Amino acid sequence: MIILRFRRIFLPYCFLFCCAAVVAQPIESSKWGKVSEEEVNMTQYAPYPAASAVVLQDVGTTVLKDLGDKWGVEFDRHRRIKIFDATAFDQGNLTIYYRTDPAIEKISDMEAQLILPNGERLKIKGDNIFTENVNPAWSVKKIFIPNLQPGSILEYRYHIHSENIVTLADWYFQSELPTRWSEFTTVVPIIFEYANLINRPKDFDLLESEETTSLAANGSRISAKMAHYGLSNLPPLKVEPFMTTIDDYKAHIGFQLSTINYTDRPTQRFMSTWENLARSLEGHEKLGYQYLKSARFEKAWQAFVDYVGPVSDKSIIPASVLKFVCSNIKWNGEYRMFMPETIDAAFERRTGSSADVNLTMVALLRKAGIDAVPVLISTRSHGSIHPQYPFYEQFNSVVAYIRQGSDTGILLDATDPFQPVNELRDQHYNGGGWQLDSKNPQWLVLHPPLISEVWYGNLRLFEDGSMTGKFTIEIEGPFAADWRHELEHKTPKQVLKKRFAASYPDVIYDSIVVTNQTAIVEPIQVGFKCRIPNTANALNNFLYCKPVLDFFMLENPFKSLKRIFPVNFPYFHRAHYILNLELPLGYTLVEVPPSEKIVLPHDGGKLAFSITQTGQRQVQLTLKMEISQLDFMPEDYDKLRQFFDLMVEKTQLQLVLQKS
Amino acid sequence: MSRPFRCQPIGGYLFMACLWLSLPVVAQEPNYAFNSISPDMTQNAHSVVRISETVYTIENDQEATEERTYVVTILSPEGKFERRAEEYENEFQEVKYMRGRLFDAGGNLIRESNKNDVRDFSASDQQGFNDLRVKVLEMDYNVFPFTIEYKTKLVFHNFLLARTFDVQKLGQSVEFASLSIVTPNDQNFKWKDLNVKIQPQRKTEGTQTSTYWAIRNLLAKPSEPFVPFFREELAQIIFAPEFMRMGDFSGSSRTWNEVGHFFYNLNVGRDVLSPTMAAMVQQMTQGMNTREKVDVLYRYLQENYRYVSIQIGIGGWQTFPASFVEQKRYGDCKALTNFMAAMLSAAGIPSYQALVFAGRMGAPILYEDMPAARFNHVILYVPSEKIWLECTSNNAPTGYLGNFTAGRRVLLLTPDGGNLLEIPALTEKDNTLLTHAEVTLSESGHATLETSQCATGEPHDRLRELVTKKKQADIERDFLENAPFGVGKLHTLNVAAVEKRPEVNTNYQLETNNYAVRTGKRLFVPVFKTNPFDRALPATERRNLDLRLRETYTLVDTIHFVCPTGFVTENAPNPIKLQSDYGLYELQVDQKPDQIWFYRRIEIYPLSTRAVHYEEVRKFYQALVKADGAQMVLVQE
Repeated sequence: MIILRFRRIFLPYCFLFCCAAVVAQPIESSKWGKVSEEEVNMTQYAPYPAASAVVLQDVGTTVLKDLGDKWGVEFDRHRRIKIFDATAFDQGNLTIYYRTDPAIEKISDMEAQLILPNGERLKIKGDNIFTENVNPAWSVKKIFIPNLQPGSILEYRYHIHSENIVTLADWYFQSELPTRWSEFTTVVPIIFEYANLINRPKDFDLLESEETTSLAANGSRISAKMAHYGLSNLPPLKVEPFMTTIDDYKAHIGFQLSTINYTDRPTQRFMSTWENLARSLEGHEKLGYQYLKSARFEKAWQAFVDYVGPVSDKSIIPASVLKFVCSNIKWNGEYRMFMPETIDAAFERRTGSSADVNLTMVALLRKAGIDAVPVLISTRSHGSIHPQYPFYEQFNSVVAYIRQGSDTGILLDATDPFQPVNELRDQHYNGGGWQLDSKNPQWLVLHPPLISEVWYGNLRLFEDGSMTGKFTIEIEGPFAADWRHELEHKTPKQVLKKRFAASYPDVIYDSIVVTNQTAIVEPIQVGFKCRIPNTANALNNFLYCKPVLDFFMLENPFKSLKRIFPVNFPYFHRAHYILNLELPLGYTLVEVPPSEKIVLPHDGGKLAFSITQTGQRQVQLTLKMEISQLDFMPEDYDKLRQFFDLMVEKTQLQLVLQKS
Repeated sequence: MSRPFRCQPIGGYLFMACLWLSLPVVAQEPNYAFNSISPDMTQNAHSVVRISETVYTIENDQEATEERTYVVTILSPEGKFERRAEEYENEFQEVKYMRGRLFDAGGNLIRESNKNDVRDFSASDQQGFNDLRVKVLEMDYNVFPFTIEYKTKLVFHNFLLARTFDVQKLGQSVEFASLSIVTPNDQNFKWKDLNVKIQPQRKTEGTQTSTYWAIRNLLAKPSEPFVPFFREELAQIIFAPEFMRMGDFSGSSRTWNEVGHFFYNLNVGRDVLSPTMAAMVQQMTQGMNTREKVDVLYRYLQENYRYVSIQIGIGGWQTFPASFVEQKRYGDCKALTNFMAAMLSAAGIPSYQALVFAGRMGAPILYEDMPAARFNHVILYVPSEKIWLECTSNNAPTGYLGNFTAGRRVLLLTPDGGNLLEIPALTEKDNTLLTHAEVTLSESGHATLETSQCATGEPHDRLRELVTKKKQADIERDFLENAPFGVGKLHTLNVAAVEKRPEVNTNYQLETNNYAVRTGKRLFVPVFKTNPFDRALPATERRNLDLRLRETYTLVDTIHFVCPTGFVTENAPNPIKLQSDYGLYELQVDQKPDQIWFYRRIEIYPLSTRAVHYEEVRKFYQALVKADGAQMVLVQE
C-alpha cells in the first residue's frame, strides 16, 4: 500500500515564471530572403560541428487580433535552415500540421524558397506542396523542397489563423537540429492576461516587453503589450532511455489565458482559481456530469448491485468496483479525461478509454456512498504538470481516488484487470495528479509503487554442470501484472519456458505451483522444481559455475558516456536473489569471493553482494539491489552507470570448484 | 535503403477450395456461440473463422466489386489482430461499406457498429505523400472468446489486377470459407491454388460465369517462428484477370511476357532528358568504358537526388517523367529508376527496369504459370554489365542490392515484353565479418581493446548506412549503444566505407569497464565477447511447419589476449571443430604463459528444411553457442 502525502510537487525540470527583462546576446533575426554572405558560405556550425544542418533562425509571432465579434489568434512563423551535406536532405521534406477538429485552424501565406550555394534563389512552386488530412483532427501541409544541394539554405514561412485564445500554440525554441537563434514575439491587447509556462536550459538571451497598440475591428487603436523571447545556440535534442516525453526537455514557452479585463463588462476569468476550474469541470457534459448525474449510469449501477450483492462491509467496495469495472469495460489503450458518451454507453460497448473506465468507477463509488473523486493526470508522454496554473489543458487522463482522512486515500485505475488497488499504469506516474473537487481541490503526489522481485533457490550442482532443485520467484508490483497477463492464456510451464528461453532453453520444469495468481493484491509466487543444464563448465579438475540464473537486469541500460538530462525511473525497484547451493560430492569451493556493497549518492539506491560457506558442501549467495529514488541528476550519472556495471558484473560472477 | 511503392491492393482476404459444396451456407439465424465450435478446431488456434465468404465480381472491363462476409471467433489475446477490419481507398478503390457486429461467447449480439466507428486515416508516410486512405473498423470486447462479424464491400473503378485470397492464417482454424469469382463470359482469368488441388465449380448464367470454391473444417496450424515468407505453406488462391486495366491503360495477363508489356507501356516515353541534361551526361561520361559510365552516373544520382515518395492515383504505378526528376532532384523508386535509365540511355547504355517485391523478409514466389503481378518496388538492370542498380539508395556501391531485393525473382520490362529473371542471393561468402582484436587485460577485469574489423555484404549494410549518413559524434553514440560491453573510455573510433565494394572497415581503441569478471584470485574471461555467436531456436515439443532461415554469413576472428602480470592460465577452451549441413564452427588455440591466441571460423548456411529436422538444427546451433561461450580462466599466482 502506498502512502500518499500532500506536499510540494516535484518538477522534473526547471520551471520559471517570467519576470524582469534580462538581455544577454540576442541575435538579430533577418527578414525573408535577407541571407548574409556568411550564411551562404558557412560549411559547419561551430558550436556543434557534427551537425549536418542548423536552424539559422526560427522566428515566430502570435498576435491577438480584434475581429469585431471575436478574437483571432494570428500566428506567423519564418524558419531558416542551413543544409551542410546530403545527410540532412530529409530536412527538405517539410511538414506543417494544423488542427481541423475541434477547433479549425486556417493556414495561409505559405511560402518557401531555396538559396543555392551559388546565391541563386528558387521559389518553391505549388506542385511541390500537398495537403493531407491525416485524420479527422489534424491535417498537414507537406512541402518537398526540390533541387536541394549541400550548402543550400532553405527558408519557409506561413500563417495560421485560429480562434483558440485560451491556449496559444507552444513555441519550441529547440529541435533535433542545433538552433542558432530562435525568437518568439507576442502582441496581446492589455485586456488579456496570460500565464506563461516556460522551460529553458539557460537565461533568455532576449527578454523584453514594451507597450504598443493594435488595431481594433472598428478602426481605433487599443493598448497592447508586446513581448519578445529569444534563445541562441541551443544544442540538438535526442531521446535517451528513461526520459518522459522529449518535449518536456526542449526549451519552450506556452501561454494559458487567465483573465480578460473588459473595459465595459465584468472581468472574465479563465484561470482564476483551482476551485473555479473544478466547478466548471464538474459542470462539464463529458466529465463532471458523467459521475454526478446518476441517470447516466443507471444500467452500470444496476449491474454492479447485481454483481456485488448485499454489502455489509463497506471496505470491500473499492476492490469490488475495481474488479467489476475491469471485467466489464476493457481499456482500449487510450488516455482521455473526457468521455464522449455516457457511462452506460461505455458499459454496453464494453471497451473504453481511461476516462471511460475510471469515471465509471468514480460514479459507482459515489453512488455506493464512498467519498470518491476523479484525479486528473498528465501522462508521461503528455508532459509535465503545472501546479501553479489552474487550466485543464495540461491534463489528458484521469484515475479514481477515494479520500480517507486529510492526507491518505486509495487510488484506483481500471486500465488493467491485474492492477490492484493503489496501483496505476506507469504512464500515470508523472509527478502528481489533481483532485477534481470544487469544495476541496488538491494536488496529490503520486508515488509509484515498488517493483520487487525475489528469486529464492535451493539447488544442487552436479559434476556435469547441471543444477537441480527448487526455485521460487516472487514478484510484487507492476511486474506481477505482467506475469498474470501471461498466465491468463498460457500454462505456467509455457510462461516459464518463454521467460527463460534465451538464457536457459533446455530447463526441465516440474511441480510448478503458482500462488496468488488471482489474488492480485498479493505478490505472485511461482515455485517449481527444475533441472537446468549448462550452469557450469567442467574443465580439467575444475568446475566453474555461474550461480546467478536471473536478475533485474543482465545488461547495463546506460550506454552513453555522458548524460545531459536527468534519468527518470517510472518505478522504485527492489531485487533480491538468494541461492542455497549444494556442491557436488568431492568438490570444494576454491575461494570465497569477498562481499561487496555500494550505495548511490543521496542514498538513492544500494547494491549488496555476499557469498558465505554455510556448510562443508553448502554455499549461500545473496545479491540485493534497491533503487529508492526516481530522479537522478546528470552529475550523478557516472555513479549510476557504475552501479549498473557492478550489478551486471555480479550477475556474471562465477564460483570455482575443485575436485579434491 | 529504399522504401517500397505500393502496388498490390493490400489486405488479407479470404478464399479457398477443397471440398466442393453444392450450396453456399445459408444461415437464417447464425449460431455464433463458442460451444458450437468442434473442440479439435480450437487446437493450436487463437481464432476460428466461422464463415468467410467472398464474392469478387468483374462487372465489365471497367468495374469490379468485392463483397465479403467474415465471421471470426477470437479465442485469446494472440488472435487480437482479427478485431480489426482494414480497407484501403483511393481513386481506383472505393470502400462502399464496412459493418461490424459483436457477439459474446454465447452468441448473443452485443452491439452493431455505426458509421462513426469506421475511422479514416491517411496511409501516407511522414516523409512522403500519397492519396491512399485507410479505413479501420475495430470491434473489441473484454471477455474471451467473442465473435465478430464483418461485412465489407469494395468497388474497383478502372482497376483490374491480380488479387490473392488467403483462407487461413497461422494459429487459425476455418470452419467454412468460400470464394466466388464472377466474370462476364468473355473475360477469362488465370488462377492458381497453392497447397490444395480441387477444381472449382463453374456455372454460366446469361452473360456471367461464376467460379466457386469452398472448403470446410481446416484445422489450425500453430503460429511458429522462422517460416517461409507469405505463408507459402498455407492454402491460397491467386487470381489474375486476363484483361488488365489501370486507369486508361489496359493490357493482358495471359503470360508474363504480356504482363511485362503492360507495365512497360505504362511508362514508355517517360524517359526523356532535357537537351541540357543529355549533354551533361555526355560530358560526364566522355571517354569512359561502359562500366565507368555506369559508375559515374550512378554516383551522380546518389549524390544529387533524394528519395521522396509521392504517389497519387496512377502515380502509384506510373513513373514521373525523367524531366520531373531532373527539375526536382527527388523522386520515388519508379521516378529515380526511370531517370537513371534515361541517363544511361543518353550515355548509350541500354538498361531495363525490373519489378520486384522488396523486403528483408523475402518475397512471394512468382510462378511461371501464374502471371500475377505481385510487386512493390522497381530496380534497374544493365544487361551489358550484368549489374543491378538500387536507385533509391544514396550510398550503395554500384551493383550491390543487399537482401532488400537480392535472392528472388523479378519481372524485367523490355520493349519485347516481360521476362522472369532470378537475382542471386547473397551467400556466406558475400556476408562476412573479419575481426582482429588485441585485448590487454587488467587485474580488475577491465581491458584495453584494439580492434580492426572488416564487414562485407549484409553485415556491412547497417554500418554503411551509419557512416555515410551520420557524423562522427553520432557514429560514436551508435557504437556505444551497440557495443556488447560497457565502454569506459573510447580512445579512437574510425569507421570507413569502401566506395566501390560492399565493405566497411572499423578500427577502434578503447577501454572497457568490465570485460572479464574478477572473483577473488581469478579472472573469468569470455573469449568472444566482442562478437559472440548467439543464434538460438526456441525449444519446442513438436515443430509443425517447415523451417526457413535466410541469414547466412562467415565470421573469422583472431583474438590475442595479453594477461595481467602475475596471472597464468588456469584453463582455456580447447580447440574444437563442429560441422554439419547447417554450418561450421572451428576454434584453434595458441598459448604462451602470459599470452593466448584464439582463431575462430564460423560459417552459417541458409536453411530451408522440413519440420522434422528442426530439433537437429536447434541442437547444432546450441552446440555452437556452447562452444562459443567457453571462457578462459586466469589465476593470480
